[in-house]
Amino acid sequence: MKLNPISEELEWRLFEWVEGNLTPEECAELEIIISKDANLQAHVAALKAIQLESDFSDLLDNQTKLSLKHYSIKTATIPTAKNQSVQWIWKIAAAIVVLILSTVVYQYNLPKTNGHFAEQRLSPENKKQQKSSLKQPINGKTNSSIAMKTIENQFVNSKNGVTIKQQAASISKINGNEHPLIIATTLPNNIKQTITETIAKPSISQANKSINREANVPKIEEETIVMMSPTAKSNPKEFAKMAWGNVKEMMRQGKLPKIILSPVKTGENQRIPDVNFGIQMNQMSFVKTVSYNPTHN
Amino acid sequence: MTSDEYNQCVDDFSDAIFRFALKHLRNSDDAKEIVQLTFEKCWMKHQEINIAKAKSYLFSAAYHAIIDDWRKKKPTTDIDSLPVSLHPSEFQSNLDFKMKQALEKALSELSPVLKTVILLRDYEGYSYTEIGNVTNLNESQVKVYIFRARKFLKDRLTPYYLNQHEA
Repeated sequence: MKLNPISEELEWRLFEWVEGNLTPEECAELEIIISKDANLQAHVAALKAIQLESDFSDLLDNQTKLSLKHYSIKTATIPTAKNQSVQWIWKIAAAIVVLILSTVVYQYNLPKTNGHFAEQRLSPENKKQQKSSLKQPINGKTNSSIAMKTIENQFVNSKNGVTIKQQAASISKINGNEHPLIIATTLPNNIKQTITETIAKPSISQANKSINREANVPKIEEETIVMMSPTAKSNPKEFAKMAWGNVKEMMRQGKLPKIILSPVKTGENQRIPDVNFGIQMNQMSFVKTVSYNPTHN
Repeated sequence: MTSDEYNQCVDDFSDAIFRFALKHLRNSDDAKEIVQLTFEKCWMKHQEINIAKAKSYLFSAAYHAIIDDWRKKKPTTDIDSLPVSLHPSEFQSNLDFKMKQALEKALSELSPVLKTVILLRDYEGYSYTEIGNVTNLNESQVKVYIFRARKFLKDRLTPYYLNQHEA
């Protein structure tokens, strides 16, 4: 069987017929012509044979498909016009939290005192005096070294039966000058201040653990300690001001402020509270920094 | 086109573009590369492409990539690189296998434009308009090119066809 050449016009009509581009009438007319011509039938068969048909077995592997895909990170978009106030609130809250945390971290990282000496925050006018007094060496020694020596001497004295009163008399003045501890804790005239029992009861070092502590505990009647500068009229406002200043200083040094109310006898045999504000060093000791005694009004 | 729509296009058209490229290049690795280049180009401009025109854009990009590849390399006629679908074991008779082989060979001898239009028409079932969008031709030109491609293949395969029938 051979395919005899046909006219190009006829070839085009066969092509259109195979492609499905003819109208039904044209298709019917062409089919009649084809049925009568074997050569045309062969041409039509050849055209259908060369039509490419995909068997859809050529598929891309899944791994390559996955590599072609893109996954973008979706970000939540907040309508700025509507929730601008909410955004500002969150920003302010975050700033406050950061400020608080930085303050806490700052206070936590501050160097702490050893607790042996009561450091107090004076009023601004006395602050300079305090600083200058602390920095003034006596007999070539600093105040802190003298104070430490004083405590050691007290310990030895108490061991030897020297009373607190006697010790107080010996430490109140050194070479005619007031003891640096006294100077350091000097307060304005209207504030009464006492030296803590830590001086009367020096802390026992590791090396001296075996020492009998009972012999070193001063008797109650000898608990009287050095009196500070005489009191003047007490003023609640002044007391509050002093106390607040002390609070800030204590917090800065990591100490815990405490207020102790102790009864004070009046002339009419009545008891009124005497407000003592200070630092709770340990269970036994309390360093008073500011006191308010209404009886002095 | 969003990224989700782009991923949907990958699922819908990646196989078709792979077949299209494979029929052109007759090499699986080259066809994969064409597919990757095509979708990479599509992703770079996915925000500018309308999802309705994604199909024609993809095939057009693949077509141009194939043209570039064809210009760089000579078309291979290596029978070993034929797709698996033409493996002799998949055909009922040896004549069918030879016919298919001859068809592939004749197809490889077509120019890229004729091959593209005939593949898109027969394999993908595209309309003349869609083929025109891919190849930047009008409908009449597409029809003419398809006619010429069929005529060429018919003239090349007539001996095989006649032998098949005589057998």
